[in-house]
Amino acid sequence: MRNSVLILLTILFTGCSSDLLDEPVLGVQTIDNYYSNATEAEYAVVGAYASLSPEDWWEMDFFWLIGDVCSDDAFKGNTIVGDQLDFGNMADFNINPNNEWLDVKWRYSYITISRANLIIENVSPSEMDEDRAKQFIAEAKFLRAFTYFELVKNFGGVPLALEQLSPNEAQLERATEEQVWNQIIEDLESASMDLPSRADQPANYIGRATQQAAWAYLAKANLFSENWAKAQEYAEMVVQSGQYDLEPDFGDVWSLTNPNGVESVFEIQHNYDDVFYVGNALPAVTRSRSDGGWGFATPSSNLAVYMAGDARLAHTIITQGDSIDADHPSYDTNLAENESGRNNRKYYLSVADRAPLDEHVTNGLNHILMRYADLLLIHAEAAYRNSQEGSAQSSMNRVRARVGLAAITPSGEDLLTAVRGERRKELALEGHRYYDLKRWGILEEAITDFVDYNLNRSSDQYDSGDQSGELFDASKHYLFPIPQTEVDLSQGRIQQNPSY
Amino acid sequence: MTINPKTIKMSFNKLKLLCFALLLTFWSGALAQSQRVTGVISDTSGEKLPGVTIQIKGTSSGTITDIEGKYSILVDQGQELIFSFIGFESTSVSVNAQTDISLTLEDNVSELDEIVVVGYGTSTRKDITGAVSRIKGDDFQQRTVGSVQESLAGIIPGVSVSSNGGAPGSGANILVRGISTISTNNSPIYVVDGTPLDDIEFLNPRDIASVQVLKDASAASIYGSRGSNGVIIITTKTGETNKTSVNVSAKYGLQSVARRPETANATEYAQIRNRAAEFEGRTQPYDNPEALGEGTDWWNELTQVAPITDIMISASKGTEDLRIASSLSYFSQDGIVKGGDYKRLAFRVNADYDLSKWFNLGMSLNVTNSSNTNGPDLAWDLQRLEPVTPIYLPDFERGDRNEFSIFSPTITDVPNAMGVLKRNFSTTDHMRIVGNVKANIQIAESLSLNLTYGFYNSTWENNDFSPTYNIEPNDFSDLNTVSRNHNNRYRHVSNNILTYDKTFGNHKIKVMGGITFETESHHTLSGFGNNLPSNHPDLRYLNAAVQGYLAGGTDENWGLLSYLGRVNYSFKEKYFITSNFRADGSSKFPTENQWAFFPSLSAGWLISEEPFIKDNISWIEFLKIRGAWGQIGNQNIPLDARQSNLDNVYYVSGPDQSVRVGVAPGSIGNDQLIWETIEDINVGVDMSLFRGKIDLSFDAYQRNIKDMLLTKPLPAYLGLGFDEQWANVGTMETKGFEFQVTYKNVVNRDLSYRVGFTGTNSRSTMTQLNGQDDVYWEGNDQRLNLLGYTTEGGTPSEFYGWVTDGIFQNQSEIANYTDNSGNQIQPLAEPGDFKFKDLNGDGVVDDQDRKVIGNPEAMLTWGVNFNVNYKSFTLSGLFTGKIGGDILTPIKAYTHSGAGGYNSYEGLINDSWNGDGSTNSQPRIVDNDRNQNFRYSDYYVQDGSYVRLKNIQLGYQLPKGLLKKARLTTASIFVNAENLLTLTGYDGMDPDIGGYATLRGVDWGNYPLPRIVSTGINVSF
Repeated sequence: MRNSVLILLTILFTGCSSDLLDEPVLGVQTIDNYYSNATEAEYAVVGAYASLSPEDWWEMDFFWLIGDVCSDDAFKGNTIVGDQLDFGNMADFNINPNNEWLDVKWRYSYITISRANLIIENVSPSEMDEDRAKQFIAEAKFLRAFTYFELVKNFGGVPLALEQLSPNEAQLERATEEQVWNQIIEDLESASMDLPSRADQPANYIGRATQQAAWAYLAKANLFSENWAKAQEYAEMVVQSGQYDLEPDFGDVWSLTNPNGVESVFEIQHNYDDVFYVGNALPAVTRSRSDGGWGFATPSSNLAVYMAGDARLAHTIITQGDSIDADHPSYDTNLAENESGRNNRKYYLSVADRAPLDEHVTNGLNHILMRYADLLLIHAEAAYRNSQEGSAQSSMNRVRARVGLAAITPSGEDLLTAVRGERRKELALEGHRYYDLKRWGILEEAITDFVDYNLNRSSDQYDSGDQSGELFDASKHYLFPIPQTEVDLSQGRIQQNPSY
Repeated sequence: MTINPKTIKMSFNKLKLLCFALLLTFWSGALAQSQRVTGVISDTSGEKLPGVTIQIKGTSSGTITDIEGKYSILVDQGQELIFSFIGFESTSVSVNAQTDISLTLEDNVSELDEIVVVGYGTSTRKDITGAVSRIKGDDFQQRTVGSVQESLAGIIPGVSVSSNGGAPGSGANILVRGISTISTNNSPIYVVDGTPLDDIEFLNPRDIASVQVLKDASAASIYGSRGSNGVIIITTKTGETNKTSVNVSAKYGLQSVARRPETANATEYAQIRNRAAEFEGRTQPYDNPEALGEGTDWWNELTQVAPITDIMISASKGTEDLRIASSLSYFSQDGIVKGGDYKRLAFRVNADYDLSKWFNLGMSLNVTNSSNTNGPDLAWDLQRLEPVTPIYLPDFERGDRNEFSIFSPTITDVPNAMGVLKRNFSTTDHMRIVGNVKANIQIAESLSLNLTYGFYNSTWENNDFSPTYNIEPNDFSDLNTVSRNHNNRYRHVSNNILTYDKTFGNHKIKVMGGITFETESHHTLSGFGNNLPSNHPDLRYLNAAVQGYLAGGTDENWGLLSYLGRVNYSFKEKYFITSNFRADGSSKFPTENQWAFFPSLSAGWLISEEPFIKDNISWIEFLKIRGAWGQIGNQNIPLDARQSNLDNVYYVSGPDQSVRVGVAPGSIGNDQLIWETIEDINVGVDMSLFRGKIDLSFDAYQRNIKDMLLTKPLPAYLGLGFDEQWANVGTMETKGFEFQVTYKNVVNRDLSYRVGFTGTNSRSTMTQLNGQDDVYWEGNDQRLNLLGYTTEGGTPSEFYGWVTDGIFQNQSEIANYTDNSGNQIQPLAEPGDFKFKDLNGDGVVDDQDRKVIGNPEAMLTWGVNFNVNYKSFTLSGLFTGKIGGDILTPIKAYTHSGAGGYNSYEGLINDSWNGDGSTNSQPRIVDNDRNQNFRYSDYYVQDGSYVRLKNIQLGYQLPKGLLKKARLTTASIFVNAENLLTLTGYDGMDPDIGGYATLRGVDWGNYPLPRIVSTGINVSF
């Protein structure tokens, strides 16, 4: 008996082993061998676009406000000091390399770059439908260029990752600003060859990059890197494509019901969806705290005064007590928690247009990054630099005419001043101002004047006396610092920007 | 025994079951050759001894004497019976032809011979050479708590238990010897009747017979990779031979908040808001604060006195060859913060068959259903909600609002708490079926085989619903949503252990070897939908949703294959050596690195058996010193840590702005991962003095953790965002000691008492982290930002911030606070603001002026338990406490600043700075605080030392005469109180705050501690 049991046990011991150490990870795809056909490549391209506005409000959307709050156009806005302290520190030029917003911008920018690199590296036109493959690569190059543009305008020269590196290979140093600009222009030129013209873009791709978008960014990149002739040339290619016009009504530019309108060259696509968070954070983030918003990036009286009498003012700024719509006959900006008694009108959504759920991640308003008016003003500026004043005036006057302003014909420095002024008014609170002031070389002048205005000249009942900008230091604030963690992890390879 | 795990690819679980079934058919007819031995066991005074353990030497079969000291057992001739009982000398008798073995046991008053379960075998306290503690179920079963973890607080040296807050069903955190790794999981593994489990919520604490804790690596290494955070071995109650008992116990109690936060009333709130406006030159918002009176006491409105019920019926019966125990218990607890509850119904049966004298079969089954309403986490909001806001809108303002919208809008972003409560419909049902089958086969005289198959099936379901409602523009939802989530876990464990036990003269040797298999499969399923036709209770199901469908689900599987062995050798019962070895293969690691080996070696010397003590020092009953070295491992990493995965992401395109699915890298794998190894050395001493009146044990240890598994930050330009890669980074050192002293005394027939004192010290130091100078932050607070600071050379989760230096009383103090060149250090400050130290002397207060300002690790956590028997009364209790250990209170950025419209603590208006000389510790009240008074500073750090009367019980045993009439064996009634008294300098609600390795001791405004006063009865038939 006992022996029978023992025999059985022998079977048991030797038989009851198993393959239990071989357990694959289930329900997920691995990155190995992905991108091998057009379907996978298409998914990957959508994935790369998705990084322009990931799911949560803070990941990419919030940083678009930096161009306004680090200028004379807007303040941090929400007066609760501890509420987004680091955002307030950006607005106050109390900026250190640990600021979380710089970290976030940096990290998410490189996510886009990484997704683009994987497509550029792995999608092979010889292994799938050649035209589609070329278009996918072109879109990836467009996104990579767009993102390096974002990085270079904020941080200067950055590590130039052009292929997906493994952690062991991560030994990059910062490229020079010039190298980054060259890469941006190279990518955009290459992309513009294979991107569809707006007219030929398949309907289900509306919102993705077009040939004209690549040209528009080529114009802008050349403007930023002061290749005036190229800037003008590319701007004119967009104009001559005949695909764009100004919205007849300025108030329709930022509108939930006008996505990818006639003026739109490139915008981040959003929609309300009750399952996936593909919304825009900014309408909730910038609205009054009395109106369900978070009250950030409130416009300054300095901007309001500058735009006084301009038809665009009412579509740019909400002032305390303004009649906005039926639900808001006398708008409450929540003076106790609003730095300037004003809110952003461009991102404002009426109650009916707001998402019914989780508004801060689900509002459907597209975020316009490049529109025709911007392009016309880029053209005007480039044409001025190329001594084609008539052409410059004409582009500027086209923008003016839309809002009922008479054509003007200033010349020389006055023309430049006029174009810059037009740019401030037309694109106010769209995230451009700090970067424009910077490239014009008048950032210090503008911020110093802004502080002086607030402390000494303003009689505005809401924001006079505001000290924001006092800490501006021209020796460092022309660039934001590289995130400290990146500097630390590089073990000396990545040098910090001056004075930080 | 060469085994190649890869040769036969077949699900071993199915095969195991088959094997067992076959085994069961083979034993029939094998029930012979044994003889029955009976007897009565008594002490030297002639009193019959119930509960004496009678074990057949070299086997695990045995029995226990009944209430009259009688026993009966089947034995072979030539086998030896060991009679042991706590407090008495063990006696062994060889069985020849006799059928009656009655004995008188000599007093020993020592607990050193009791059987200790050490993992895949047993030992005695005398023989043990590692750091192992044992307690009996009786030592904690008077506690009024829902979980085993909570009931272990303060009674085991080296084990510290910290609260997860007092929410029903929330359990507690257990740390064995402090933290063993800095990743989040520091929970020990629980081994219930041989089955390793992570979850023991199914177990009623009162079903437990004993708990032993394997603390050092030498003891835990037999559990290899499962033992890195310590091993808690739980043995449940079984039936006893020749004893029948039915027990009914019931306890009912009321819980209340032990210490509520004192919040400002409406008058003070208005005064505070007026003060803020006054300092900033704004119009004061409240004309007449006094007229507002008390206002809404949100705390009071949303907390309650809540019942707690604990009922258990158990029955057990044993014959010579069959022992059965079963129980049915019900536990329910309502939350002291409204809206949460927890109910648990547990059934358990445990049967043990002596099928033959060489074949013992045991089976046990637990079926436990728990259900709870997951109350919203309101405690922290209740301290911040403004008392000037009523809870409900007045009737005339309600209009056609639905039942979820009749609440007043609040002033701040803290939503109306009653609104939150009424919208909460999150409920969880959790069914667990846990059991095992064991066979113990005596193959030859000294050789036995133990086979165990254990299983754990858990079915978890959560249902949630959120209604449409509209309170105000930032507190509304136009869509109602519904969701259901399922998480099912299936765990199978098989242990196959061969033991050889033999004594040759002075040499005693025991060799154990075996193979174990462990698999776990986790199945998830979730469904989500929205836009239900209405909020009606009958429609809160997925089938009623008309849009927004989303489903998800996957399986997560892992397996662990282990070979293990142990050799115990002792010479003359004075010198002991134990060596463990275990080889673990885990599916979680890359194929090349799946295997790891965990050896240990330990030795003990029973000095009290040496003639120079035995013959000379009579007051030393027992004295043993021990030393041990061992290694254990850790495999707590996500299943996908080894590979890079893709995630689905979403973007919009097309004329209709349609959502498109995209794919993007979601994680970065590491195919080089290896096991984390924990190596420690332990020295200990055990003593029993003055004929057992004093028992003492002391252990000191040092533990080095290397190749620590942690996520490692990578350069962001690799494009991984915040995703980090699992890697073997960092080393940590933990040092500490623990002790236990027990004093017991029998004064006379009527009065006896016992006092036990346990203490635990454990200090950990990061010796290396990622690379040089790296800092690891954990936790993020809206006001203080990053909270837990871990860096090389420091303790994980220190507090790191600025240092205050009083308050600027006037402008000249601000003007005079300058650096060497006369620059003002805090130009933005105003009188009443904090002065911060410029630690590096560079003339500005910035990030470089922060330092370590607190350490959450306690110097000592301790417990004192006592019981006093006087005639029929028993008074027993437990004090627990902690010496040292700082607490960080980010909640004070709200409750102590007076800013932003949030409510404050009661008294802030008088405590805060209000003019030159008013105070030097509490800044002025201001909304726009340019000085950032409430930045992360030592202002938030407080000492968390405390003494708590954790539990006290007074019981009365009904007189025997009365019992006889009622045909009862025993009956007692008692009153019991939990958390009756706490002495502490800490001014928050509760200084007992848990956390995990890299973020500990943070008071977020946790769920309040309940004080529970209960009464109950305990009756046996």
